[in-house]
Amino acid sequence: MPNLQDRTAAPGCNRIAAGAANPAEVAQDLRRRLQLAVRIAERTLQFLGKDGFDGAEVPDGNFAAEKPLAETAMLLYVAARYAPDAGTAAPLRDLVPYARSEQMRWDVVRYPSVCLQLATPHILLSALGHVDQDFDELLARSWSASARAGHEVVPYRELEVLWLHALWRRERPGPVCEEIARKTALGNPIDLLNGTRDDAYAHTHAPMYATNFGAWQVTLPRPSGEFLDEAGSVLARALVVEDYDLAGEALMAWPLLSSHWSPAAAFGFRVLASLEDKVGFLPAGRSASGRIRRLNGHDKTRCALATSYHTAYVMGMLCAVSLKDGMASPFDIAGAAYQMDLIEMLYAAIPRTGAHWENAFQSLDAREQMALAPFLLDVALIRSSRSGDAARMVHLLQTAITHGMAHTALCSQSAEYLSRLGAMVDGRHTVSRLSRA
Amino acid sequence: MSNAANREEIVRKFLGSKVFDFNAFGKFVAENGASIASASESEFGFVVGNRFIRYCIPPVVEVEQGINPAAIRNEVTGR
Repeated sequence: MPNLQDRTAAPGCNRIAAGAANPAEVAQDLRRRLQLAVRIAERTLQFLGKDGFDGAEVPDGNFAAEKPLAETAMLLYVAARYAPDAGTAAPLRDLVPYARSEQMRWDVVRYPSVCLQLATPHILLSALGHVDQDFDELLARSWSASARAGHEVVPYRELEVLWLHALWRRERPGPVCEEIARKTALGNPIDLLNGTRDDAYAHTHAPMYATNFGAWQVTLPRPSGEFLDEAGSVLARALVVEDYDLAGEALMAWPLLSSHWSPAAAFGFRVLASLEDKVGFLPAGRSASGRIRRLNGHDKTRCALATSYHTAYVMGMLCAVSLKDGMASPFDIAGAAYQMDLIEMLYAAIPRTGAHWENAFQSLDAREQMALAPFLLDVALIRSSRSGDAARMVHLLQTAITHGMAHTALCSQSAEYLSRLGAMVDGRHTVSRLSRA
Repeated sequence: MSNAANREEIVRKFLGSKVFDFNAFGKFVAENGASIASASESEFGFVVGNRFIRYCIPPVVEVEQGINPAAIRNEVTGR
């Protein structure tokens, strides 16, 4: 049951008393978190910038240097835009030789169909004033190759290429951006119940590229509220499975689209911030690779960074875009208050797993908990669906109708899913009955 | 009708139709095993990609016999 009397802030969030902190304190806290990510970026460049990582036990855990270099450039680009005092000058200087190394030049020349993606660090460095005419000319030659369009990509990756090209050419993308956006999650809901992790990443990345990480005002193919409703369900699902990388990316949707934090989004932010405070950085999940125990010194540091830097970057980027002008405190859980009976019923319908969000929820005060009925409904529906508990899903949908919460994409997708299941099961039994007759 | 109203209407229609036969669904699960109706609790899904589209997708972390991430704080943050 929710602890209705405990009015302390979430663990590790004592610096920020929700609803009470002034904007300067909130901004200072966000900058502190961003500076931590920038510090981790310096170490990532130092330990992974030259060779990437090849010490994983599974092939997908290995990566070439171009991956952390591109992601480091993105973090520093966003940090420099929204928090010029976040200490990006030194890591930007450190990034330059890696971003324009002989290996990078070779790759850009050799692979014209992905040359803009490979040149991501160069393009972002140039956008921040660290230009290199020679590298630019090589990139232009590759971009003009006949094989330029030889690597097909999904629509949100088209947006990425368009974004990189626009930054490189120092121009806005134009109407083609809206045409492509229509084909992405900005235009169409993803499957919130049974979609893949790729679908979720497509949802989180499309607004990053379409808005130039919140710097461009764009016309979306549908109301931003619909997209944010789905982002809330992606966030709930990520918190359930303790995928903090995805949770952080889902949260970016609110500042990227210059929208007020929903109660669920503010709660999600509190969950991530409290976990970051508890661990010392935002981890990817509940556990880190046990393989690190068998390593020492340089190898141990490389392995720890290789498995952790990405989520730490996501938290840094989230804090950076949250510093956008006009954004309210992401710590403040404020919204319509639902009945406490409903909160208790929904919370009781969710099996406990020890996920960090459960601790954070317990530490909220009653006012905050009462704003989170839609979040609890999302979690309960997702958990019920994943365990195949159709009866509970139906009950939850009835509850949603009763309390005016059934207007979400997750509710309608749940109803559609149950309808399909019902038709399938009914059809099988009809066939079975006929064959027996 | 707004999209929000549309979505609520889908839920209302489903609940009003009473097409979901709990007995038949229970029998289906009993005949086919619970695993057919449930999904893995530990994974979001799967990642498909090559080196290029894996930009911004986190590296795979092997979590078998995982450790508390706080144990690697010094390695990650340098302090």
